[in-house]
Amino acid sequence: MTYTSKGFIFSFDLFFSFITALFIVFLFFQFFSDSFHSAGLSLKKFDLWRKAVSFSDSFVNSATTSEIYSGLIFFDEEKKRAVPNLVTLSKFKNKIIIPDEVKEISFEFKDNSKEQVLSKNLTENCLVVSRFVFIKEIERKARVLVAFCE
Amino acid sequence: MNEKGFHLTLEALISLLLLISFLSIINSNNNVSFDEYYLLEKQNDLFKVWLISNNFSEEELISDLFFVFPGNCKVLLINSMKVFDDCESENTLFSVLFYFSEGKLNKIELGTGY
Repeated sequence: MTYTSKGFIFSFDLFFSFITALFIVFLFFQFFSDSFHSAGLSLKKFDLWRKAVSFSDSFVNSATTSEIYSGLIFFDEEKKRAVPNLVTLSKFKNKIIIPDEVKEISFEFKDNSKEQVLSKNLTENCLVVSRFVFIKEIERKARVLVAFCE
Repeated sequence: MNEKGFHLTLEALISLLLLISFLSIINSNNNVSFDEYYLLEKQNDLFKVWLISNNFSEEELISDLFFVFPGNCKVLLINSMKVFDDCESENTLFSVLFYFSEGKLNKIELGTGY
């Protein structure tokens, strides 16, 4: 750029350098826009995972002595403690607190048989969390599949 | 030039642009996930169920492994002896179970790839 008493002369060299500069700035903003967008999506997915894993965890690891059970596990009255991963299916007949996001709960056995204990219509963005338990009444190992939707 | 003020030279402009380009290249890690925690939880489930059922035969343990981790590669060591290994993955998560049986302390190491 050349300065004179009447102003300045804008050369082609500078013009091209400005175009290049603008293009790089555009790429910079484009990158951050994509980055924030993918971070948003990732966090949304992470939140769904967090809720699903937390719920499945409480389902196979927690129990209370009250009539309302948050989980299915066996409560050893003699030892006054819950036994994680030892499930009593009869608890499903009691009042169990299940969040609205939980759409399906089923038990899968090694011989490919399946027992569905909860079934609702699946909505968008669902994921299935699987946990391994021992069912006390029938003395069998099973996978608990919990479908969790947004 | 002796005028008061600020002159942004072409070199300075190019340096600034290079700095911006460099900052753009730095990739922020957005891939937060529950994968490892979830795998650990499932490994712990296996250990707890094995302790409840009290059946530590190799066939039973391997069959349970395939049932719980159908899509992952698996490594199983009983008392430091390799019983099963189909893992070629670099990322393998290990958990260890110690249990007392038949008058001695036993150790089961379980690894799953992700």
